[in-house]
Amino acid sequence: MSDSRMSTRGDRLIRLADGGRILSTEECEAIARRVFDAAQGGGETRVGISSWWQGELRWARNRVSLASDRRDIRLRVTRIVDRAVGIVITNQVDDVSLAAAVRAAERSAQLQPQFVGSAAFYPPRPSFETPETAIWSDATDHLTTEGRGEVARALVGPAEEKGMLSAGYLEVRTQSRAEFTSAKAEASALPEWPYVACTQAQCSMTVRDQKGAGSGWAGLSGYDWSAIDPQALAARALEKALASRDPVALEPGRYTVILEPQAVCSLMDLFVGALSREPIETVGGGPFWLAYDDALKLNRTKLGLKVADERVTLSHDPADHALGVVPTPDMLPLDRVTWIDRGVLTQLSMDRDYALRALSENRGAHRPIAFRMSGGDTSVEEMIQTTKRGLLVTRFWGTRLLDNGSVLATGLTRDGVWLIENGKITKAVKNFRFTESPLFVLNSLDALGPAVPVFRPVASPYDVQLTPAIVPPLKARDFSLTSLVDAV
Amino acid sequence: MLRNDHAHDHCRSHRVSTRAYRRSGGLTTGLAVSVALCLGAGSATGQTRFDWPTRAVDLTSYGTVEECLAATERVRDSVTRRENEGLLRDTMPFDPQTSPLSAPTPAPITETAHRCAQRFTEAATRLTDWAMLLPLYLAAGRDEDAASLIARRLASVGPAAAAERAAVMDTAVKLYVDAFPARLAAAEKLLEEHARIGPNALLGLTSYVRLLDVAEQVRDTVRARWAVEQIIARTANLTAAERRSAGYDTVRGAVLVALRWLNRGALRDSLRLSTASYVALVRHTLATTAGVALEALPFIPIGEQAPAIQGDFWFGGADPGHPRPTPGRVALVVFLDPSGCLSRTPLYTTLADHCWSQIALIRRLTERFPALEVTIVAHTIGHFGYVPPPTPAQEADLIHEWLTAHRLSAGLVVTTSDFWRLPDPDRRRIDRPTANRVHYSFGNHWPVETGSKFIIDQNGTIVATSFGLSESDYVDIIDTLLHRAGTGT
Repeated sequence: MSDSRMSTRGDRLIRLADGGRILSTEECEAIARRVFDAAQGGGETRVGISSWWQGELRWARNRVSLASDRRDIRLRVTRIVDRAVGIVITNQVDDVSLAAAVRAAERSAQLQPQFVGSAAFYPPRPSFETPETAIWSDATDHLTTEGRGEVARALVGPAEEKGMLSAGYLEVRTQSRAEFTSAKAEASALPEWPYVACTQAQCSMTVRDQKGAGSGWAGLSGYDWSAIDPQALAARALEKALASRDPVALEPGRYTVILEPQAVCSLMDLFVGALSREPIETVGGGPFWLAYDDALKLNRTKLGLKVADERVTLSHDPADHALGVVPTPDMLPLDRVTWIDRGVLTQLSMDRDYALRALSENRGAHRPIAFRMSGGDTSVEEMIQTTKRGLLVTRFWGTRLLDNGSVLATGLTRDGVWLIENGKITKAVKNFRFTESPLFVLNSLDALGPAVPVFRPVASPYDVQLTPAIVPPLKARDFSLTSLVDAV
Repeated sequence: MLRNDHAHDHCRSHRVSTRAYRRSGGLTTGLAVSVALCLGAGSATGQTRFDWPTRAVDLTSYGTVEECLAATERVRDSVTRRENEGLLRDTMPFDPQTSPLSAPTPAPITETAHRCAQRFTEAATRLTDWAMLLPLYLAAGRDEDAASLIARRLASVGPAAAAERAAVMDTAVKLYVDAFPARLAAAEKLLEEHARIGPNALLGLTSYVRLLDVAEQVRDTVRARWAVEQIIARTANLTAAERRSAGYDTVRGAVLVALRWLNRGALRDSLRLSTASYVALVRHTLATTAGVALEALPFIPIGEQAPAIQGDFWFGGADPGHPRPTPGRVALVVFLDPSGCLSRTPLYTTLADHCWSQIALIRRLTERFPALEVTIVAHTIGHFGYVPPPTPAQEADLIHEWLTAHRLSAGLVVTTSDFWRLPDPDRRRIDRPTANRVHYSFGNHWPVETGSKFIIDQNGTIVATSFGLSESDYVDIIDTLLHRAGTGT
């Protein structure tokens, strides 16, 4: 960061000037060098710098309740002195504060075990290429407070005109991260881990009628704000709210269901986390654990076995512009991976360390933090037309796992469920609690629609990772709806 | 004048706001900051300096015995953690003087327990709380109240309830010997006064086993011997059925330790005489413990001829032309599993602790006995730490470098593992056992694990394995072997 944009007084919080929302690579490097300068007396110094900016807009009952514009930086100073590690985190980067952080890290190191390099042999760490992924959008970075206000006006207006109540959340976020070590400070390649910057955007809204008798929802997230059409979302939420008013009670039971992509994503999220090889093979259990092999004394997975309908493929390609993820040191290398290929479990994620230990292979397979589920060519309208009696579900809410082995889960339908009779939507129905396994659903498929991006924002606001998903709508048989729920 | 008044007002308002912000105990700091600001101190000197918060435990909200005990244990945890930072104790020889089992309890723990337990008068407490109140009394240093509490609890047991009585005794002894410092004298007194051998000799035996265990740890040989004698007396007349019972299974190891303890002198003397007599005595001890005939003893490799070590890569003085163990030398053969020990980086500190303690033990033995021939036996596993998969030769070099970095000057023999892979898409590498592992497992009767050790005499006879041996046992056996006259077999 240049001095002109930074206060050098030691008694004040340092704030980034308007304009640069996050630190640039040169600014990060300059801070790292100043930390290295402050660290005297030998040892190694590591600096991790992240910066973020976030613009938010929240509205409820057709009125904006929050409009924020926040930014901060996070500086992690690690001092390795006399084989002990001390770590201090600060967001103050003036000279006095940096020196204080370094001293504090050194004091902390004095209290820590002397592990580093203690009679141990360190081979050099291997390096990997960093894949190019689509994670930056100027449209996201440039959406100003005023711009977000205009968007809100466009989102709230249609609902208000119809006498409906609108509530929602819009967020754009930009963040960067870089890591440096003094061990390489003299070399040309200063960064320990290269500078990376990414953007996130999300917009979701709920529209309800004044009596609370109908509700509609629409949302979308991704790295690129320009790929999100807020007017379309508003129209969709309003349309669903209007159509879901005055629902009738329907007997719980097993129904043919048409799940819109958002509902499918909720089900997929219940088991994609279990697509991890190490816990299955070291501990056992989970939906992709097959059995314990008494002869070989090891846990067998379902790799190579059919686990879903053959129309289902679950994959991720970092080069896919709609599925960009942020490369991180622990998930190297980042390759294209197909976990389920035409219904067959072909890959389980594993980090490189496990790949080395179990397979003597130098490459792992990353976790499904982002994924694409294959789709079909049947539109939702066609699915409805071919349904004699069934339900159309907008999305699920409050889903949680009941049984890890079978992925039996429960949750509620929400924001619009409609009864389909003889190829037509006939009436809105009350919400249900479901008790079902996504793996059963993926083995009871009637039809798949075109896969589309869904609302799957980053779970933690402090996580520098993107979690996009592309998921199709689907039609499945015998979906278990176990009780009625009064909520809309 | 006007300027001074303004400055005064500013100081007053700042002080008020500071005090309001730090209602609890921040008055001094707030005043200091305000004074500093009023005096026009520079920005750096005006900064609030970090002060440690008070560490005294606020016990006002702790009303029950359980809460007091929890508070005490939290303080103990905090103190212990702070003292143990930076010290891997299991890589050091055990020092009974510094062990918490014999060292005085740190003052913060005693003080917390004492303050919190003040409200619990022994005679007025409910007996249902006794098992939690007892460690609290001990932590507070109220040993007399602890003894009274146990006496009251034992008095509440009916004369015919032998099992309950044994259970109470067992709990009391456990709490005594687990206390810091361990109350061995009180535990012994309790057992002497109240324990009786009834028709079921196994009942209450675990109390003596606990006492022996801790007495051994703190090198209290007199009390350990007393516990050993009690254990032997109680198990001497066990029937064959009792020796096969689940109750005996839990103490079988302790009985073996007791017998070895009792026979320690005889074992050393027999080893001085010959390996054969030593092996015979060890087998007799084991048979006695198990209550079986010598012929029915499960296989143990002592007394067997040590197989010659084979390998593809030899380091540290080991030479393929001179197979190990070398005839005429006392040898220690150590199996180290690369996946469980070698190649581990300090990033895996918790996993590697056990490994490091093994390495430290071997290093101490090599330094103490330069004449001892130490051979580390390892095999390739296809990877080393985080480096890309190496060739077997590279992997052997890395293992050697790792051991050298641990300052272990021992011979190293590395065998290239034969392996196969599970079919695609699993592809897991399955290593076949190496010849060394197969030979030293004696037909899978004695499966070799990482850390398995074999002490071998000058004639190539296995004298001892690592099973049940403490560091002092290693030292005794190796020292005796190195100093006995002739071949001794």
